[in-house]
Amino acid sequence: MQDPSLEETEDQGAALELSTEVLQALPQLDPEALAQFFDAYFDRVYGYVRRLVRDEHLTEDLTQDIFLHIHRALPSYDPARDLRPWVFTIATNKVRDFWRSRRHRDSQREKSVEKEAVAETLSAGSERPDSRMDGQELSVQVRSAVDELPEGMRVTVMLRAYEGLSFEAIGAILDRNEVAVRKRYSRALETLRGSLGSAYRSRVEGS
Amino acid sequence: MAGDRFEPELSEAEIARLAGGMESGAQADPAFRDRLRSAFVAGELESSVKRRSREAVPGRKADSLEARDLERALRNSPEPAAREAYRSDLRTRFVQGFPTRMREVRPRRRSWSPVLVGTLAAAAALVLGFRLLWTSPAPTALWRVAFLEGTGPVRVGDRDLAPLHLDRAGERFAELAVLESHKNRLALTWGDHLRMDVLPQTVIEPVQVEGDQSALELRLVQGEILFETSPDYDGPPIHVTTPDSMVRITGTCLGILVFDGGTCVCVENGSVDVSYGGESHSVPHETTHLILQDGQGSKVVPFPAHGADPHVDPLREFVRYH
Repeated sequence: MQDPSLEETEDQGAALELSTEVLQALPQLDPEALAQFFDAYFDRVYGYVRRLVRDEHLTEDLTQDIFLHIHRALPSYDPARDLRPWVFTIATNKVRDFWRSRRHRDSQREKSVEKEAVAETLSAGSERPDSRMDGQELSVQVRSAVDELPEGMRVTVMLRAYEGLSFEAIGAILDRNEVAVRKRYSRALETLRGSLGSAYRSRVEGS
Repeated sequence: MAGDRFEPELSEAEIARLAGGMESGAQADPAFRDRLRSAFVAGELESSVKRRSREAVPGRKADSLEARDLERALRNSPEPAAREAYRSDLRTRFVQGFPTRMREVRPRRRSWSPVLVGTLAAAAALVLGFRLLWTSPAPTALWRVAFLEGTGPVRVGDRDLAPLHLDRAGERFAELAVLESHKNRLALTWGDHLRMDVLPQTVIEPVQVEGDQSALELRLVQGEILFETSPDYDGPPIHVTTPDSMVRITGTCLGILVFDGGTCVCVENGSVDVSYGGESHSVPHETTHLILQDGQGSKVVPFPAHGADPHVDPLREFVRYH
């Protein structure tokens, strides 16, 4: 079932736009262009990775790997190409490489008990009959629910809801076609609705 | 958004115009014409129309609001911020061209093995180097035993020394004999090279090292001694043997405790090599190494061990004293 909400969200990448001159100077590794690129993208990339892996030190590891990779790949970057999907492709691949690593699997095993506790807390919160969450509380609840999504769905939600990328761009990043991405995003939202339960619905109905 | 492939979406009006034909003389919007042409050529016209039709169903409005609310909540969740020092460091490296990869900022859980192997290799190389290159003459400094605390007698070799005789100025000996501190706390020094605090109920005895007259070797029979050598110590190797281990000391500050369960080596500064069970282990600073009795294994704990080990406080006092 196609969700009508899957229209293009407002473009959150306006702040990431770099001038043509900067884009053309990037492949030459011009320091000024590199600085502008870093200032424009660091917070987005860091926030993206942090939301996916949660651990601060791990986020720092992965973020530096991403920028190292970007630096090495910039000489082959085509300035005519949209920069943002290119950057997030690299970031996503780094995170997925980590998820496939033994390091991640080990940490996941250790966190399994903790995740169960979080799920119980979330479930208990959603059962409150009179719950009417305010915006901040809802954000926290949604954030916890997103953390419980399967990794593929989580990446899709992050790229779509946080980064405002088009489904086509997300498809290119995840090596999926656009329809598949739309379906996955739709399923992710459906899962989130289910996870958040009645508390979330009461807020929506009240809005 | 820049770079996005166009997404053909047909409004109801556009579909009606398409179905009914355009009025004579009317000009189609060029952008619409181009979108329609591309969709037509790509064979996506049908799916585009269907999608647009689904989105126009009024009954879907609630879901749409719900999803948008969800997206808004996601976007409004707190933005994780990086540490400023980390950001600044990474920015500098990025702009300057990443001459080398940054340090590993997260301690890897499984990275201790290569480090341990490297440390052991370095320690082995160091020991071999000392063996091959050490040519200094035999030590000629004098031992000095002085009181720090206590009032009872102290036994040095076959002599019982009273506090009045063995005051803070201490008694000098050309060679160290068996030393029993009884209820006293003593300061045992050897020239300017090293200082030991000998805690109550401690027994140490010198050992003759066969084939290496330059080395100082002591046997800690029972109790606890707290070592300090200068960081740039260049004297002969100092070995302390216990019933469970042998500790090699060069330029460090540490405590060694022999207790009922085994031996405890607690390193405040520098590092030492501890040998037991036929293997050598490097104990880094701020680490406590416990060697259990009768080869029952060992364990390494951070120093200080939360005040649980009785030797920690004396060691700190020892450091403060200096």
